[in-house]
Parts: sequence; C-alpha cells; structure tokens
Amino acid sequence: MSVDVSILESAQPPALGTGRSPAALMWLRFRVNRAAYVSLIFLVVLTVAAIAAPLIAHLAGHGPNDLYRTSMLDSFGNPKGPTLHFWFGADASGRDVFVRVIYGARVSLIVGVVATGIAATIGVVFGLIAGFRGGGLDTLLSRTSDVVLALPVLLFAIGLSSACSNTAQGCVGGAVTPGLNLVIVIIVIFAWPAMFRIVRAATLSLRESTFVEAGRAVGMTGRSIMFREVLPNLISPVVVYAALMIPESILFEAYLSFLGLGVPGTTPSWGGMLEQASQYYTTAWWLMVFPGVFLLATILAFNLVADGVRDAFDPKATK
Amino acid sequence: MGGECICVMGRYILRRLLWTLVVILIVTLVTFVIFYVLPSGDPAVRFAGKEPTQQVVAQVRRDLGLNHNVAVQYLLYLKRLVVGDKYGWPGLGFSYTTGGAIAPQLWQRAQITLQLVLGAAVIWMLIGIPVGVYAALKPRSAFDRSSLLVGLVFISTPVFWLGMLLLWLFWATLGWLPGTGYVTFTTDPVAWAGHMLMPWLTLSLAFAAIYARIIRGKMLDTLGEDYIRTARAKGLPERRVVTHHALRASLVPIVTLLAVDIATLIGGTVVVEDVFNLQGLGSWVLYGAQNQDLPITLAVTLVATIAVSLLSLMADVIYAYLDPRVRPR
Amino acid sequence: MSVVTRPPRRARASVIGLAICLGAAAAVLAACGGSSGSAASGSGSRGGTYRVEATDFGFSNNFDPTGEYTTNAWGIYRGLLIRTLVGYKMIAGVPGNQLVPDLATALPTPTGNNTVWTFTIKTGVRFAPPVNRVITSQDVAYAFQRIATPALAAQYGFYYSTIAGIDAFASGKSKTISGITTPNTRTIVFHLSQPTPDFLYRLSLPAAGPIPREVAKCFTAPGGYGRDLVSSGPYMIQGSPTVNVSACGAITPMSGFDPSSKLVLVRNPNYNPATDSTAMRTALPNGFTFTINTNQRDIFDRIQAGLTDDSLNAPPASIVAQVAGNASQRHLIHSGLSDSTKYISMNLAQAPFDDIHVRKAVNLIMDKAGLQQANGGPLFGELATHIVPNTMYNDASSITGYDPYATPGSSGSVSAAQAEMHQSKYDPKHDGLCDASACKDVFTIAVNTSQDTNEIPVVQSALGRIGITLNIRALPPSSAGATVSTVANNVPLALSQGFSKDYADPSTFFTPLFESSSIAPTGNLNESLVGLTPALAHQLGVKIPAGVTIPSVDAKIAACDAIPTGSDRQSCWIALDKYVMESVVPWAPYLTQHDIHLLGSDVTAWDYDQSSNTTAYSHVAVAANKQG
Repeated sequence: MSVDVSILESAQPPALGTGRSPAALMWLRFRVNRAAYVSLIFLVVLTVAAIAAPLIAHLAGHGPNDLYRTSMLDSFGNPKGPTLHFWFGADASGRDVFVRVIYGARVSLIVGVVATGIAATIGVVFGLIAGFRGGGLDTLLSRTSDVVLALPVLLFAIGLSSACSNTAQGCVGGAVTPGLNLVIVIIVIFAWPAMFRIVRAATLSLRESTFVEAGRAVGMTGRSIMFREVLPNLISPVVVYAALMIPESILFEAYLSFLGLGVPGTTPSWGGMLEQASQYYTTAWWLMVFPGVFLLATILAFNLVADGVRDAFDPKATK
Repeated sequence: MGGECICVMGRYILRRLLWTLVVILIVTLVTFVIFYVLPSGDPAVRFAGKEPTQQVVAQVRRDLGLNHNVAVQYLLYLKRLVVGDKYGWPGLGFSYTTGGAIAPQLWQRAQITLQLVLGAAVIWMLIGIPVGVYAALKPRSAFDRSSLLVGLVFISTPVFWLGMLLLWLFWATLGWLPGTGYVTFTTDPVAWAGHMLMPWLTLSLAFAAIYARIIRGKMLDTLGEDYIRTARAKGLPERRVVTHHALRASLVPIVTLLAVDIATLIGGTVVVEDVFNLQGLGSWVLYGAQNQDLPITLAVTLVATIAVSLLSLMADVIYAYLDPRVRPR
Repeated sequence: MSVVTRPPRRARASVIGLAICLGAAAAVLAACGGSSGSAASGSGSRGGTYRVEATDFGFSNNFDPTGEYTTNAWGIYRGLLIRTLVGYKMIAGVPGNQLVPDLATALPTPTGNNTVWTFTIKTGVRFAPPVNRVITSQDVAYAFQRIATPALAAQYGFYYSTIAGIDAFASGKSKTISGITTPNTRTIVFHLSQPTPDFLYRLSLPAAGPIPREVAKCFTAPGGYGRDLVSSGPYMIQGSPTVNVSACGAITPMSGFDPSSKLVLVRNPNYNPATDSTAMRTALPNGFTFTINTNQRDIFDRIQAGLTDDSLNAPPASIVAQVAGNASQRHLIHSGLSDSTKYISMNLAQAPFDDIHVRKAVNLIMDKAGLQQANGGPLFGELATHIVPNTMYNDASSITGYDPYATPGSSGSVSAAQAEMHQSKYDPKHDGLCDASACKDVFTIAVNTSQDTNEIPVVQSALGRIGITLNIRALPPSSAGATVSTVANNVPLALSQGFSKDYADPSTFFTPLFESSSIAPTGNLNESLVGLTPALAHQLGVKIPAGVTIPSVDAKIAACDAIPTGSDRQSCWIALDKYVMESVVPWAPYLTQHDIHLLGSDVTAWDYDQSSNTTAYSHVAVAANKQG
C-alpha cells in the first residue's frame, strides 16, 4: 500500500530562535518536536545495534543461523517460546529470534536508506531536467512516470523476482542478482516517479521566477542555472519528501519478503521472519510479535522523524 | 455550463480515454514481456506431464497458443480481447494450470475483492470523517494530538502483520470471530460479516488515519473562509454551520480521492487476501504470477489497470463539476 | 508422480501397524496403537457419506483420466470410478502394490517373449448412466486411441510407446492402433514392438481404463471429458443420469463436479458387486463428497469437530502435535508410507559436484535427522538411505537397513565427511574442507513452501561444516521445478526434490531419473545428468569440467528392465540401487514421507491405498446413523 504521509502534521508549535545559522535553527525546531526527537534517538540506537549485531549475537551466544533443533524444537519440529537464553523464543528451524531480529534491522535500514537515496536521486535529476528543459524529454519522462504509477506494483515485483531468480547470474546481464539487490531495484523502479513529479512541478514554477531570469540575463548556462539557482531552492521539498520515502521503502521490502520475494531466508529480515510466522502464528505468537513490533516501531519512528524534518524545514506548514 | 464548456469537457474526456487505452496497451505489453521474455519455465512442459515427448510438448504449446513468437502472441491476445474467444467476450482465454475459462472466475473473484474493498471504504469513511471533523473543531486539543499519533501508528503498521495479529487475537486466542476464508452472503449473512470484519478492519485502519488528516486539514481551511464567518455571524447554529457548509466543502476532494483509492485497491489487496485466505483478485494474481499462469496474471492486470484509469478519470470529471476552478480548458 | 511440485502427497497405512509405528517416537507409538482399533478395514457398515475437504484439487488435466496425472485423482479413480484390466487391492503396504485382475478375468501370462498380452474381460460389467451398456474390449482399446491422440495431451503416454503401431496412429498414418486387437467383445490382445516385462503395471494406470467412445469422442481438447467422466466403478459423478448423450452438442457437464468447488459421487446403479471383490472394494458409504475449502486450518478444525471426515491436504505439524498429545484424540491420526523419496539433487556436470568425493561428503555430512524434523518429525516420514522406497520391492530384506552413509544419529559426521572431502580435488589445502572457489556461493534452488523452507537452514548449516557455502534461491514449487528441469540453467544443487512412483516397479524411478535418454532441454527429470555424454552436453549448452567423465547406468537399467517381473528383476534393481548410491552418488536422499491423515470421529473403517498413495476410498466406512 502506498500511503502519502505528507498530510500528517505535527501539532507542535515551532520554536524560533534568533541570531543562529539556518541549520542550527532547524535543529532547534526539530528538537522541540518531542516525538520526532525520541524517534531519532530510537533510530540511532537501532542503527548501532544493527552494526553491532555480531557482537550482540556473540553476547547472546547464538549466531543468526545457528540451529538449536534439539533444545528449541519439539519432536514435531514446532518451535519453543521465549526462555531465559532465547529472549524472543526460537523460530521453526530452532534459531534465536532475538538475534535474528537484531540482524533483521540491517536489511530494513539498508533498504530504507539505499533504495530511497537512489530513487530520490533519479527523481530529482529527471525532475530537474524535465521541468527545466521541457519539450519532448519532459513529455517522455512524464509519461513514463505515469505508466510506472499505473503498473500493479506487487505483480511486477513478483514477475521480476521470479525472472531474475532462475540462474546464478540473475538478469539484465548479471546487473541484478536476486536478494537485497533485486529488492532495492524493484523499490527504486516504483519509487522514483513520485519524487520526479514533485521536483518537476517545483522546477516549473521556479523556471519562471525572477532570479532564474536574472541568471539568464547575466549569461549563465542552463546547466549552471539548474544546479546553482534551481536546485538549492528544491532542497526543502526534496529532503522532506525523501524522509517520507524511507518508511515506505522499508514497508515495501517487508511486503516483498512476506510474499517470499525479498531477501533469501538465510539473511534475517523482518518481513521474511513474519512470512514464517504466518505459518505458525496460531501456536507460536513470538514469531509474529517480536519482528512485527520492531518493524512497526522503525517505520513509525521514520515517519515521526520525517514529520519533524518537515516542521524544521517549513515551520509554516504547522497549523 | 455552456455548450462550449461541455464540448471542452467532452474533448478532455476523450483525450483521457485515449490515454487510458495507451496505458492498457503498455501495461499488458510490459506484463507480457516480463512473464514471457524472462520466464522461469515453459508452461507447456509442465502441462505435458512426465517425460513428455517433443510431439506432446509441441501439441500442448499449440493448445496454449505458445507456438507463435511473443509479438504474434501479444497481438493475438489483443485480438481475442476485442473480438472474444470460445468462452465469450472479452476473450481472456483459459488458465494454463486448470484449463478452466478465465472470465467466469474473474467475475466471481472480483465480487469478493469488491466486497472487501467497498466494505473497508465504508469503515474508513465512518471512522475518518468524524475523527477528522472533531479534530478540526478542537485543533491542538488532546483529542487532536492523540488522533494524530494513533493515526500515524496505523499508517506505519504493515497490513499483513495487523491481519495476523487480529487473527491471533480474535480467532485463535479469544475465539470471538471466525477465522480466515469466505462465506457468501446468501449462504449465511452473519458468517459472511464475521469473516469479512477482520479483513475490512485490516485494510481500512491506515486509510481511516489518512482520511481523518485530510478532512481535518480541509475543515480548518474552510472554517477560516469568509462565507463560514458570515454564516456564523448570521447566528446559524454551529452544528448547521459545520455540517451544511464546512463539511460539504471539505468532502469534495475526498470523493475524488476515494474513487482513486478504491480503484487502486481492486488490484492491490494481494496481501490482505493472502493473509485472510480470501479468493479474490489479489490472491489470484499472486497465484498466477507464481505459477506462470499468464492468462490469470494478464486478466487481473487488465482489470486493475482499467479500474484505476477509469475511476480516476471519473473522479477528475466529478471534481471538475463540483469545483469550477479546476475545469480543464 | 511428477517431480515434487508439491511434495509427493500422501502415503501408506498406518493403521494396521506398519513400518511407521516401529520407527517413531513414543507419542507416535501411542498414536499407532490407538488407530489400529478404529480403522481395521471391513469393520464398518453400509451407508453414510464420506466427506473429504481440500484447499484445492490440483488436477493436472481437469479430471480427464487420459491426461490426469495426480495422486489425488488416481486414488479416486481406482477406488470409485475406473476399473482397469488389472488393478490393486487398494490396501496398505507391499501387498497393496501387487497386481490383481479387476476388469479382466485373470492376470495373463505373456507370450512371444513378453510381447503378446491377452485379456478376457469379465461379463456383466456395465458403464454407469447415462451410457448403461456392457463394457467391451473396444472400450478399452478406445482408451488407448485417446492416449495416442496428440491433441488430448496424455501426460504419461510414454508408458505405452512399445505398443505396436501406436506411433503410426498418433501421426495420423493409421486409423487404428495395429498392436491392439479385439477379436471379440470380451477379448483384447496387445502386441508390443519390444519386450516390456512390466507392461501389466502400465495397464493399471487410470488412463488405460475403459472409456465409452460415444461420449468421449465429443471432447477433443485436453481435459474436456473430465466434466462428463462415465464411471465403470461402484460410484459415479452425481448428475450422470441426466446428461443427454444423444448428440455431442447436447452434452452438458455433470452437475456433481465443479473443478473449483466440489466433486460429488453417488452409487452407480449399474455396479454389480459380483463382478468385483470385497478384497478390492467394500464400497460401504452411499456417497463421497470432495469439497474445496481454501482455509486449511478450518479443514482440520472441522475434522476435529466431526463435521468432515478426511482431507487431501496433510495436516500441519502443529495440529498433529496437538492431536497426538491428546490421549482422547490420538486415534484420529492415521498414516501410510508414500512410495516416494525426498532428496537433495547434485548436478554431475557442475563444480564442485562433478567430483564423487564431494558428493559422498555431502551425503556423510547431511543432517538427515534435522531434515526429518524440519518435515514434522518421525511421524511425518522415515529416513531414506537409498533411491527406491522399500515398499516398492516385493522382498526388501536384502536392502532393509542398507545405509552406505550411516552417521551417528543420522545427524552427519564431520570426521567421516572431511575424510572423504580430503580426497577431493576441491580440497587443495587437504584440510577436509571444500576450499576451492567453486565451493563458495554455490547456486542452489530451494522450494519456498513452509516445510521445504524449513529444510534450507539445516542443509546450509550441514554443508558449511565441509566448507561449502550456498547462494540460495527459494522459489514457489512450480518455478523451482521449472528452473531445475531446464538443463541450460546449470543448477548445481537443488533442495527438497522428491519423486514418487507411478507403479511399483523400480523402473519408474531409474528410467526417468538416471537414464541418459531421459535428459531433455526442458522438463528434464534426470537433474543430475547421469549418463551425460560430451556430445549431448554440447548440444544442451552444458560445459562438463575438464577431465571429468560422467558415469552412466544406461546399460545396467536396460539389463534390469529386460528381466521378467519376479525376484530376479527385483534383485537386479536392488543391486542397481546400491550401485547408484555408492558409485554414482547423484543424490543425498533423506526422507520417505508418511502420508498423514487426520480423520473425523464418524470414520469407522479406513485403509491406505498403497498403489495410489491416498486414502483407500474403496475400503472406508462412516457411521451411517449420524450421517444418513
């Protein structure tokens, strides 16, 4: 489900400092949004935990793919719940759910940041070009984005993922190999048009503005006007929208992994763990609850941070 | 609304319809390419049984129409779509895996998906509108803020997880509601509603949050406008001001948004149908894609694309009539 | 029957205390003990309806017997709807795999070096309504004309390729099959172009059952006849009598069968028990219903509530564990041993599996007990240690207990595996680990169904102990099957593969799986490419690593296949089974699955049909008083 979260508004009034740099001002305004601030701290802790996952696994005494089938599975292969040593219980292969949840943060964070980064970059570049140049190129890019938005997303994810999974080489001449790689490609394909539209629209309106005309008058080339005059004015909407794209990318990865199309099951990911949980949730609630809570908390935190970022950039947006 | 205006509108609709046609062509073509040029197996071989002789494979390929090259297959598909096939019109062919005709199943499953989507839409409107209105009347109140936060939680919740959570709680643990699956309304209305309740809720909560926010924003805008102040100044009761003036104006954009969201969901309820085991279009397209059953995949893609295109066109037209400022020229 | 697109469905019977009860855990022993009382066959009474639910039928050819190639359909055909010339008693265990005459009066002795087979058809066997007439030799001959008609896409037509003149008929050069003659209405003679000792088994497959031309001729596309199948057995599809067969245009589908929702069977009024035997069919219930219920969990809830009796789906391990743990319900679990083998397939033309030492090391390190547990534990299957399941050997005494790669607890042995790996060219450091780059990120196809997914970590962890790391793609069953069976994909390793018999002669394993002539560019079942020659490899786009000669068992298969059925033939296959395990090593076999059935409380008699690997529908009974 693609959800436009931009309509979410903070009820917090902005704090206005005086005599500070714009960045410091923004940070002040961000901090005043307590929910966003707490979320940011959560995300920092999560990132540190994800980076330190091997250390945490070492402390827990269980690697993410270590099997404890005699101690944590019954004779029918059903998993056992939380114990003193397995805080979040075991999965259907007898692996430590706690350790896997920590490792799973890696996939979500990487997907969120990398896929968003690539998609936002493509959207910004195409949007700038289309908005600034106009003409045939604009029509082509705009129509392409229309078509992409009209495509049934999951269906194409399924098609691409099965098409790219039947040889070791992957597809498109080995450029796309199954796994994390493919997930990021799929997310980028479907995420760039929205950013493109925002940037294109903003560029179109800026193109007619006085300072761009002034730039032309003093003989600046189209390219330098684009990058020196137009782009800086786009930073605010781009950053605000990119912040909103991160939780959407994470959610999308979770959907793909839940449908068995995402990263391979040997790489712990929250969506993949929840896929397994869907076979067991009536008897093994811990398989569903723990990865799900982390996934929800992470997406919520990113949404709250995005909210704070928007307030920080544009205090007037708050009512 | 002069004749010229209608003419402009007519041309606009025509242009949009043509574009819809182009989109359908492109989308079906892309579907074809993805599932044919990059297939993970030859459906004919699967159909031909163990140790198929080349003769049998060739025969099956003919039966499935796979003996032509991809371009010809695509054109044949379009042709059958337009003129119909032995199963009637439109010619959607038969399933590669079951051999059954696509069209009757498509309608049967579309009904289930429609019940799911429309029911969810009713719920999210019933939650979203009152919450949004109330939040707008008391901006920055505790209600406003908590509705924001709860809404954000709903938006951040993956629907498949919410679905499992509800099933675990209300079905497996408490036993209050029937579990997954579907019962037709005519068989047993109570069982029907019981089975649909959790899917409806799962699908609608995030939308309810979004709609509440939108309504709230629009209401705040309209409540600040002159005619509302005038109405208030005339001493009209507040309830009447809110419902008759402010809310009515705020609902205009909602109607169009609703049309687009419903359209998107017609092909987009894959996950909810998967979790709740509803045999609608979403679970079917998943099945088709995973089993290289191209006719199924194409049929659902087609329906979904048409739904999105036509309903968004309809929404734009309605919007243009309701709000003259955006009328196309 | 086919490569495990879905794991080979169900298997043989429990009840009467077969192998399953011996190897299983304590809880299972109790389950077995409990079950034998309630389900001894023949203890039930007449009447009632036996109700079966399934998440889907999964028919491969819309229930048209000419092409239908699924376990579920075969079980229904054999027990209830189709009487072939020769059949089975439809009971559990080795006796259930032995041929008995059904439509024919006796099992014939072939003449002309196994090339001429003559049958006499019983008198008084009639088709169900709307056809009603006596079944003749021409009706059996017509079934073969359908098999040989390319447009009907018979899915196992290859079994009949030795019938003289069948190719000429298929290509349209002849109007009849010259090798099938019907001197009179009760006699049918098959002339074969080459000796085919297991021909009787092939005649036991449902496609070879009688089909009335006057109805079936109206269906010229694959699967069409499935909606109007005319029964020769004790039951028929509901609504059969009302179908108008006077003209092709008038035929409508029988009301009792809708492929997307139900199959309802009622008694065939023309069935004469005197022509049959209760050893084969007791036919006690008044009818059968097979209903689609897409909610698997609900099916088993309904079975436990007594609202339905049986399922085509295997119950999930979590439900079986729960029922087995409950003394008052334990007797509801029944099972049989399927004639199937689950295995890891290694590609002999791909590094590092081109080296027999690596393949043996894989067998030695494999945690078979872990794979068994991933499949639901001992109740769900017993460990397999060689190619062909023991139940397919009439006398398996010389192979019972045979395990060339035995390890303590069947959990794999690091020392044994590393000693083997030590001899490999892929262990240049001689540290017992697969060091070469070919051992890293080995491209592996796995299956993403819930049980098969559980196998992945077990395999990955085991192979890691001998230095092999995997690059795993878990695909849906059909995609996985298609990917592995396309030779040009060069898949080195495939997990969760399975194969089950078509009939109880081991040739149905060895020929498609290991004969070089069965290697095909797509739809290939010889996944290991046993017998691949350089010429064939070149043709298929496979690069055999330098200096490697791929072993062939073609001559050995041909030698065994030439021996008439009997103990000599069996011994030959057993020797070949051992040879393949020790000198070819294409697989790491690990499981013979049990076909578990959770039964409703109304069921008073139940048995397992070993020939079809399904419930023995012809031997079940339900409490008639409750069900009417």
